[in-house]
Amino acid sequence: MNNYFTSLLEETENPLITEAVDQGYIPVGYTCSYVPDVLLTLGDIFPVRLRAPGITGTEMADTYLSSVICSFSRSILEYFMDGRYDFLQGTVCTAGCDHLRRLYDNLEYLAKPAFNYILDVPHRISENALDWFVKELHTFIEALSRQYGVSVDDDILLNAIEAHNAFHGTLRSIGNLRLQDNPPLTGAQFHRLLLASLVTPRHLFMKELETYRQSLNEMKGARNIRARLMLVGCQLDDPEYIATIESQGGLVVADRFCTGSLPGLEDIEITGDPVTSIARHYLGRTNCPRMMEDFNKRFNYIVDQAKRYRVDGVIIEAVKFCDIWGVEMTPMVSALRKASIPVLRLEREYRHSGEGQLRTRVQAFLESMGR
Amino acid sequence: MAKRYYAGCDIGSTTGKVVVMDDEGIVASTIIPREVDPEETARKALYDVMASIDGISDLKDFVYLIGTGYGRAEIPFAHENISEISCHAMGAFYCNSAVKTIVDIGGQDIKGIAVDDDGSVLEFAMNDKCAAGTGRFYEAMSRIFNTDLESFSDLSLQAKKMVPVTAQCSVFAETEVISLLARKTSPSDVAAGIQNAVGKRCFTLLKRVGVRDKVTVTGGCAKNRGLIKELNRILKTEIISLSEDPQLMGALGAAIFARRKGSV
Amino acid sequence: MASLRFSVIDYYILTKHRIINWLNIVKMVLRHGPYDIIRELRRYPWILEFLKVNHLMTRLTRGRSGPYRKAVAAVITDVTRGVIELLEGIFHHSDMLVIHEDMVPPEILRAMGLYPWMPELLGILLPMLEPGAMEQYIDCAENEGVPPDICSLPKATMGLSLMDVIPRGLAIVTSNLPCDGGMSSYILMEQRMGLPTFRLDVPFHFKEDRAADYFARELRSMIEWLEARTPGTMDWQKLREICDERNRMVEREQELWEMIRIRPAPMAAEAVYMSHLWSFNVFPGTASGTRLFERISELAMENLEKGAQVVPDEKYRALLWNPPTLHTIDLFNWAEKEYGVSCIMDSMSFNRLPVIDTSTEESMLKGLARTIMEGPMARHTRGPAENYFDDMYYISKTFNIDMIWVAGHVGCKNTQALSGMLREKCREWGMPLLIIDYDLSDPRIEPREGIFSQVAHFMENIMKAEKLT
Repeated sequence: MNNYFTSLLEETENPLITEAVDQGYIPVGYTCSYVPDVLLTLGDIFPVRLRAPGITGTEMADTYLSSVICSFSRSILEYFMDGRYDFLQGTVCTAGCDHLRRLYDNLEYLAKPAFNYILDVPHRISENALDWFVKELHTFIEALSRQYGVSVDDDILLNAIEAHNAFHGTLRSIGNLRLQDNPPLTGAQFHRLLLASLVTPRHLFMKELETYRQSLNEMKGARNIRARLMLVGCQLDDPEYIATIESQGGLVVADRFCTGSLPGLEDIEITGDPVTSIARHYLGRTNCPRMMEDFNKRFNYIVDQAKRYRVDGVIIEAVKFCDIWGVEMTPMVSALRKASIPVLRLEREYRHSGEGQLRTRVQAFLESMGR
Repeated sequence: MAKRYYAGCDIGSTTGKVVVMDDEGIVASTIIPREVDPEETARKALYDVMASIDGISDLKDFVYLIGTGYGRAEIPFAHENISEISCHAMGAFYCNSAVKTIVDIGGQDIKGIAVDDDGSVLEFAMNDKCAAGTGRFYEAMSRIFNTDLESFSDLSLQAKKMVPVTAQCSVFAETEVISLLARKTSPSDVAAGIQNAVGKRCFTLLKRVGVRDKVTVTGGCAKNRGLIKELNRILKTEIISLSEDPQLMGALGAAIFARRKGSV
Repeated sequence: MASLRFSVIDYYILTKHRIINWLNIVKMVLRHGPYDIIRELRRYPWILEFLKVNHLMTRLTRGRSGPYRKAVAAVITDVTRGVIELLEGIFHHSDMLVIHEDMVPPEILRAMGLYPWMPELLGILLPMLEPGAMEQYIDCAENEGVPPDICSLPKATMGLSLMDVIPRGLAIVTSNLPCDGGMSSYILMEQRMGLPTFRLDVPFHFKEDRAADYFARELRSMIEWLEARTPGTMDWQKLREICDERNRMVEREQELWEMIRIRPAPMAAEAVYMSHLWSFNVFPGTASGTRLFERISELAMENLEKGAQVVPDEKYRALLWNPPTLHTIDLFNWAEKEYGVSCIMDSMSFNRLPVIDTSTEESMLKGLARTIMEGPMARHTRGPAENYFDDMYYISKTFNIDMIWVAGHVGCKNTQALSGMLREKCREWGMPLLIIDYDLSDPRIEPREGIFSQVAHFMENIMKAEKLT
């Protein structure tokens, strides 16, 4: 079954997307966890998280974005320039970080998508900022309505939230199996599943998800886990990275990164009207260092989840050239070590390479923990 | 009772090293140039060292064999493999238990290792993405100076002053050195600049793990006297030498781990 | 005979300003007391670099004559006076000192009776005085684990805090400006300095009307926050005076800009960009700032009336994009003589902001909000690409620009990420473009000779320019 999920990740347009498009559904790509993907499930739209599977180089993108920009942004631009995302009928970006904002600018200039939207996300969470983001989402919903003929009211939004929560609930119940002492799936296996859920239409994927959930009841748990690990970081969408980490005997039981489950799969709570609830949820859920006031919140979250998942060590990874992770890593690693949590700090390129080097570092880390 | 032998086999990018221990201590060791195939290198090195030990003639005679280094996963007859970081730390600690900081300068990488009181690894940092300041870099520099590695190492000791050379990239450093020598700059002064460039790379790496006394250097480049002198100066501390060949530290550490595992 | 007279006058101008600078420094030492000064020097060793200010003035005025020379010397003298004032704030008013990030303007802090200190000032000013001055701080930050690709200005600032040579103060006010690197650096600074920290949030859609409301509310929150944590209290009348004075500064500067539209320009380079950089970022709304622009405008008018041009052979008028090449700050002094290139306008100065409406508290806050959000650099690094190109196009047309020089600081990822677009757009417009590859605060990446070499390569091969020397 896991091979099936892997097969869905090999190309930008997987068979489920093709099937949905044939049925008249509308694929809209998005770049970042601050995009409320629940709004991209309205009407016939379905969200496709942008990735660049199998990318080998970013030569074309580098001439526009330059080589000192994060390789994730460059890889996405490369794929757009290469026509790999021609099937999309729109893209939604955020002013999330400088690099993604410039990706939007370059997409606008080079790819000229029919619908290329940029969401303004505040850099902190306050009542003032929430108010701004709520207005931002209202404008966004209007734009979606105009572009895709979607009708929206509070009931429709509440239904979308309910479906979104149900979908995430199933994913969460699978991810939570790693709270067990002997989880029936590895971190890489879960990551394949989670990524597949981000790049396929939910109405077609839900069936696969439930089948997989059932099959896990029969699976034996992992034995001889050398160490339980938490992986912290940013845009990680190649499960082979986690597989390489796990090749040294450890198990990634907690995935606290943008395309991971913590806290990405939490339910949207209804705290007021639906748009305000959505705004509050997406502003707070991602734990990205772009939120300039929340270092302590991010630190405490890692510590709490590390306890919850009974983690032996934390691996923090970031894509090279990311300014916000780059600076945050130093005080975060230091704070975690002061809290007696073993930490391995890794820098990576978006494209998974240097397997031998990664293996050596992880192995040495496990050995240094006495495992 | 028959002697029990334990082996550590370090397959690096340029050489293969083996250290054999028994329950009393080190019995034999060897360093050979690397073959293309890591397994072949390991086999050759092991048979080479076995030839000098009575009572052992086959790989199966080793009670426990641990592989380490770049090619460690390609040694099928090893019982297990351990990272070269842990092995270097253990090897250096065995030679001198006062060692707390190691800079390992191998064929293709540099590592900084902070060692705990029991020889285990506290922290580590690696620079394995660029060949600047590693064995290969020194080989390239020796070629430019038209000399061998040992003479190059001593050349910097004769410098009257230090001519700075870029520490950023080995390709640029080579170009820079060639043009300095073409302008008739004193070769020993340029050599001193190269040692300074490498020293600064080591310093940056060590800062990430913390420099605590005693500091030592492992790996082939530990025999580079000019580099050691420069490191003494930059780190403001005396680099201590080890009782065994610093190039053998990885294999020695692996042998010690093998002895521990094989003794139970 | 005329040239002898000019030489004597020019010598007199330089000497006069040198004496003024030295007198200001000596007065500070006497006011503070030599013993206390030595104590402060031990605490903040970077102060010694400011003794090189006359050497900087000599470099920048070299070969420049008459009103132009006076204008450039006046800017340096004003900077010296201002630095002394800031230092005295550190020495005598640490109980009222607030650290503020470079793009958080100090008008509100001064209106609250607080003393502002901008840590980034050191990373900006010191390389002008001594090119390698920030190297040790950059290295310190990198050794602590800050990635080398982070912009060297926040790196240098983090290094200063890691080495404990930043004055402490009571609190930190920072923002998400100008970019991710700058914003994130304050996570480390906050932890290192252990000071309560307030952060302002500039939105992306800052041109919308609601943005000014949003940001005015942010400014109010900042004022309340500061009142709760410092002895400072908001004096709205004082803020009105500061904003009115700032408006006067703007008017004087607009007069100057009108004049430099004329070809050949009656004023250029440091007299235009450094005066703005210093006065509007460090001393906005002060009488000294207005006086400086009045003086520079007078001197430009003098040149106009005499029919004199600042660059004797003004062949090329350049728009400088991005902060100037700090550690090679005399780039344009050299380019004027070497190729007849006059630096007319730059991206760190130019703006089309209205003056601040000082009629009510709300209108003042909104006015200040606009100056921050739509100010130079902020609108570029926090906004979409069109903010770059619209400005470039407008400036080029308005100021009769012949070429654009981008100080292509390797750590400025906002600009680097537009390099492809920039090349294509300039090609479309027929505007010659030079992108200088270097690092803002670290001369080791590309030293002075390398920068000159890049310019020479462009001027000779692309512009087919002949050397004038």
